[in-house]
Amino acid sequence: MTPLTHRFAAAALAALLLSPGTAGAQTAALESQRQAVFAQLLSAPADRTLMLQYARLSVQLRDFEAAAATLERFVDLDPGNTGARIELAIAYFSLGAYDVAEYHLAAAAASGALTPEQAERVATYRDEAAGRNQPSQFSGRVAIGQAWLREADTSGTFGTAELDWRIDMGGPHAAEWLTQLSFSSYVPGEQSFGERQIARLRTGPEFRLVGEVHGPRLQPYLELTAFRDDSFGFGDYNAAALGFAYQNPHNAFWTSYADVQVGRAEADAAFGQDFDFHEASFGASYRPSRDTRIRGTLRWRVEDSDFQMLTTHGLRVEALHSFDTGLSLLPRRWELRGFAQRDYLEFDYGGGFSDEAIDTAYGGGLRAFVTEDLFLEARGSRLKREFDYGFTQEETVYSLQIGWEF
Amino acid sequence: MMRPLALLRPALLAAAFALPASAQQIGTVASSEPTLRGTPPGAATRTLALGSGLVSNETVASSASGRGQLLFADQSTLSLAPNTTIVLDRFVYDPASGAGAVGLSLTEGALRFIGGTLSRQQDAVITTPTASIGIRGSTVLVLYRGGQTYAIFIAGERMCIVSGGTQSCTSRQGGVLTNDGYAGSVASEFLTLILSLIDGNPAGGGGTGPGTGVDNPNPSERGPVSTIGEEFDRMIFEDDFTLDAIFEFLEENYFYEE
Repeated sequence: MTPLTHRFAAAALAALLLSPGTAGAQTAALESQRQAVFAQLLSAPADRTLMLQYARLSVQLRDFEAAAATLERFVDLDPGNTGARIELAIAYFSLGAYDVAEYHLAAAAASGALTPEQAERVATYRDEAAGRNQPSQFSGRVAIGQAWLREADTSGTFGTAELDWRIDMGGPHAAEWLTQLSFSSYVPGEQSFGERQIARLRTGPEFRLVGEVHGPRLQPYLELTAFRDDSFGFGDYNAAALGFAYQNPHNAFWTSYADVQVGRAEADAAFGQDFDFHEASFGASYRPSRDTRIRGTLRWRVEDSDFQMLTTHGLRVEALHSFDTGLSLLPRRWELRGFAQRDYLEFDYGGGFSDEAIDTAYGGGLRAFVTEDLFLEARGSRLKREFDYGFTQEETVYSLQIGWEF
Repeated sequence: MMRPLALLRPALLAAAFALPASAQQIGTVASSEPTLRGTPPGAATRTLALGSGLVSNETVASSASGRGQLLFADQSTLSLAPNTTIVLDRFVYDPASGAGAVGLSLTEGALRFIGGTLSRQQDAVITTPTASIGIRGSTVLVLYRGGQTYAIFIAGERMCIVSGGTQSCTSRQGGVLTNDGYAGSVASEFLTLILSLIDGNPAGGGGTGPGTGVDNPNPSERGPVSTIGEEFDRMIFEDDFTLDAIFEFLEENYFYEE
């Protein structure tokens, strides 16, 4: 890395490390303000200025239940205020109480007193609430565009697709069967050995381990992967793995997660190498705000074939931030993301022969939603592999895609 | 090492609990139409108007045309339908430590409970003549009618019912528990019936709303959040999949061996 890159990385790391303390102090200050307002509210429970202050502070503290309770009283005091009812509906919507949200949204729609903007907003939330109450739900995205590889001096079509399918398995704890399908393809537009496709299917039930809505969830799964490239079929393989994915949001800020799997890959060509693999990743996600996530993941993977055993372990840090410029001429929703990862690779060929290498990758991307569903995305990534005998490989990739999220 | 204040807290809390029950104000009447009636322990029945204080073990009853919302010291809210009677028989809260317990009895009628500080740490308990309902971090609707208890889980972590020595729980939003256990998801007609009982029929008159800003962090595409702000991250296990597809020459190193 250049000195400038070093300084940027150090600043980013410092910001990451300091942000939990800053967010904690802000939360404590807001909570203190809210307690003070609540003490006044107990003496003057119908004071609408105090109610509004309390609800706003609750929203800032991500306590949407307290906001809902206050809005319930607001609507009780002013039952004809349709705008207050819409805010109440959104508070319930945020808590996942889609039935109650729909009750209030339908009442607001039936009032006949909505402004065009309110009517549009009510219709949007009603559509979403109805969709989330369906026993079978689909979501995903499809994107296509162009990718450029600087060092390889090639470019080609780059397509990605993701589909999540959730099926409500019924029962008092709403377990879901979750199937995720991902596909990624890079097709150079000229003679090249760089064409490749990866398809991955992961499916399994997702359980609420302690019977709580936001408690730990565990998904035992079967994962199937197909990899194809055009390099004479050397690298093509099909893999099957069994594993489990675990996620546990501990509070508004921290979530821990893990993914462990074991599987076997079989080469698609007679001269390819079959291999067994097992891998594990453990991580923590930090949310200083609802719009920002920072994740750190420790990873470990072993691939064992007749020819070699490859052990990889490393760390990946990534950050995502969503924002709205508030400018009508620009797209409404933006997503900014960046990542940095470092992996240590050990190639053990047996008989005392081995190699080691270090992979360092970093990159970023910006996604802009030009409509509710259509987005443009620009990405840039750089990967460097340094072998212990001094040889270095590098590649820099830029891509531009247009996509549809559904 | 515990600080002196921390050592004193249990004693202070015990002392507070030892006060005469009638002296403890545990909440206030936040809205009432036309009026509620309250009977503190050992005292005469009184009219509860907006701002009236509530004390521990007070019986609160709404008339055939009365409704009311009660705001408690731990920031929980109780809304009562007409013809509803409750007893605030186990409500203690120490704001300094945040410790205490929420328990009340519903002897007839319907209510909505929206939890506050206490029910996010431990179960709030609503007892009816035929069942005991435990609520964690939650908003629920409870109806007791004709000897049958119906509890609807609206938001939060989970809700359990104990009836006839059998416990049943649900964490399904919209899940209904009765004396017979889990009864499935609430039907919209039943939900409308209970909400209309508690709040009356919705009125329509326009207006822009108070401007709490609740819609800004909750656009329609955003997933649900818990009552303490927890959220699942559905993108955790999706990372670097597309990266693998492009960095071809490095990946191929794994497979080019002879």
